[in-house]
Parts: sequence; structure tokens; C-alpha cells
Amino acid sequence: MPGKRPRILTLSPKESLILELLVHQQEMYGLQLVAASRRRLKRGTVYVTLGRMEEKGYITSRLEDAPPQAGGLPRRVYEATPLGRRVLTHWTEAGQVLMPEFAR
Amino acid sequence: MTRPGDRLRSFAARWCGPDTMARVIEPLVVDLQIEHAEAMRSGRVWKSRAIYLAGWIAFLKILAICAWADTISLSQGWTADDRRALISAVAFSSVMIAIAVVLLELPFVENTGVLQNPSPRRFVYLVPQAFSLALTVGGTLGIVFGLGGRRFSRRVGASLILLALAGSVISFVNLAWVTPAANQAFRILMSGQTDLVPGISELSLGELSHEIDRFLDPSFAQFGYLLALAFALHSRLALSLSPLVFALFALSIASGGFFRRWMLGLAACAAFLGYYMLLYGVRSLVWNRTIPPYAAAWIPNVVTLLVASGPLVFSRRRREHNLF
Repeated sequence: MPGKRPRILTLSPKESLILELLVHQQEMYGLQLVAASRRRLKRGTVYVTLGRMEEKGYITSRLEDAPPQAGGLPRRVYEATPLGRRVLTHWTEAGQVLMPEFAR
Repeated sequence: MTRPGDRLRSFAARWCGPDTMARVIEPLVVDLQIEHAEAMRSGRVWKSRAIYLAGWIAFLKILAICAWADTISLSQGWTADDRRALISAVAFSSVMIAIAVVLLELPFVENTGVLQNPSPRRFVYLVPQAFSLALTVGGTLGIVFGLGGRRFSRRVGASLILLALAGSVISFVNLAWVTPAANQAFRILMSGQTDLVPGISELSLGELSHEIDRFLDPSFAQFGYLLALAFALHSRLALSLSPLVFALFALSIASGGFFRRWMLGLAACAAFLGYYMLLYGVRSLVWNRTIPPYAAAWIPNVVTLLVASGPLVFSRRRREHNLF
């Protein structure tokens, strides 16, 4: 029986941007990411992207304690995982090697 | 007190799974509520309204993305049972549509005297008239007999709904342009005259709406011609949606898996009968000016959908309470 094909770790431009922001800021919530991205992330898509990244294991999330005056649900904050950090580093390096003219 | 986003969350909870709710919808709603509360506290009313609106737009975008992801997941992982159920429903539907076209054409063939001088063109011109109705009847019976008596997956249900939607589009094109042209061609062929004034059933959708504009003058209202035109226009629109409406009805009654095929077939026939009795019943209310033509044309579809929701609610409750 043929073995299962190993999963190739990929990073879309949005995922890469989110990881960069999370690596830089440690913990952030959805709207903070939208604000920090200077409109490159939209509030309509950021939560879907964050959910997908969590499934891939690039980020992890926890529920923040709800502020007492809000009286609602707790906020979900996101953090980059070691895997996410490694993928971002290698992805950026690969980008610099393959497309040096676009390297920052 | 209901906060902004609470209704949005309860609405989403009906459609999205617990994982999507926890990972996607709830973070959006919580961020929206906190941002909105902060704007209200600082007295920025317009800002809070803009946040509310942006939250709704974001929510709709998320729902669209989730629906798209659902569609992709539906297209994967088909089992042999799924394929068998879909093929069976489609095959039954095709046969039923062909039979229904022939049966529905027969009264026209007899009434218009085609048999006295039969020619293939005469039969062909009568097909579009019967086709839209046959699509509804045949499609519904095909689903009922194809799926009847066995449980089917969401994939099969969604695929049949998509096929019914395609059927509705075809029915719309047929009722809007093909049938009027075929009716006119048939009458010209039968009479041998080429300068016939088209009747209401020979006007395309565009011509109907143009005629309605022409007869909007109140002085014409007494003749009831405007009512007839308006009812023809709206009933064609409503009828073109009937393949989808009846497919939902068929899936609804077949979804429980507790009715035998013949019972489902009887229920479908009763629904057709009810639909057309209602359509003709409400037409008389239009002539009496009791209800407007658009309401009359759409009432049968609305009633059928309401009836279709009954078995769905019943089977959901049965699953929730483990009845039977």
C-alpha cells in the first residue's frame, strides 16, 4: 500500500502577513490584526484565515478574560506557534533566494 | 438587553457548525461588540453605527466563504451509496419528464386538431408549452421515486437542489421566450396566416412588461386586460421557480425515510393538484381585485414551501428527541 504523501507546508500572502504581525507583537486579536495590517487584512476574511491557520498549526488561540464592564463573551487572542515561526522564517528565506529582487 | 451582534450570532448558529462558530463567528461578534461599546462610551454615535454596518458586511462575507467551503466539501468524499442515489434520482426524473411532456401534450393535440393533419413540426411547437410543467412534475416524481424509502446524505440533497436550480433557469428561459415564440409559430402554422396579432400567451416576457407599461393608463383598468397581463407576467416568473420549490418539497418529504415510495408519490401528486388548484383559485381573486396579481402568482409557491417545511421540522424534532 503506498504511504501517505507528506504534507507540504505553504504560506499564503495573508497568512505570512498575520504571522509577521504575531511574531512582532506576540499576542493580538482579530481587529488588532486588521488595524495593524494597514487595511491589507479585512475584517470579513481575517477570522476565516485565522481559523485556517489554527487548523494548520501555525498559530494558537486562547480566550481572554472578558472585561467586567462588557458582560459578553471573552475575546479570542492569537499567538504564533513555534511551527508558524519556523515556516515564516523558511518561507521568507526561500523567497529571498528564489526572488531576490522582491526581498525586503 | 440585546447587544449588537447577538442576533447575528443566533442567526449564524442555525447555519454554521460549532467549530465555525467558535473559531470564526464568535471572535468577529465579540470584537464587534467591544469596538461598538468603546465607540458608544466615547460618545461617537456615527462611529458606532459604522462599526455595526462593517460588522454585518464582514459577517455576510464570512457566511459566503463558509458556504463556498461547504460546497467544496460537498463535492468531495462521495460514497457509492451517494452516487447510486443521485444517479437513480436523475434517471427517474429524466424518464418522468419525458412521460409528463407526452401526457401534457395530449390535450393540446386533441383540442387543436393536430391529429387530423399530423406533422412533426406541429408536435414540436407544442413541446415548450408542456415542458416547464413537465420539468416540475417529472423532476419531483423523479426525486421521490429515486430516493424514496432510503436515507440520503447532504451531498445528494445539495446536488439535487443545484440541479433543480438549473431546471428553474431552463424553465425561466422556456416560459419567457421559447414558449411564446412556439405558441405563435404553432398558431401561424395551423391557420396559415402570417399577420396574426399575438395573444397574451404569445408575448415574450419583455413584450409583456412593455404591454403593461402601455396599459398603465387608468382608463384601461376597467377592461381587466392590465390585470391579465400582470398576472401572466408574475405567474410565469413564479412557475419558473416551481422546479426548485417542488424539489425542496420532494427532498423534505423523502428526507425522513419513514414513508414508502407510493406514499411519497401520492403526496407529490396531491401537492401538484393543490398547487394548480390554488393557482386557478387565486386567479379569480385577481379578477375580483381582492389581491394584486403578483401576490396571487406567488401564493402557491409560498404555500408549497410552508408545507415542505413541515416534514423537515418533524424529522428534526424526531432526531432531537429520539422519538420512534
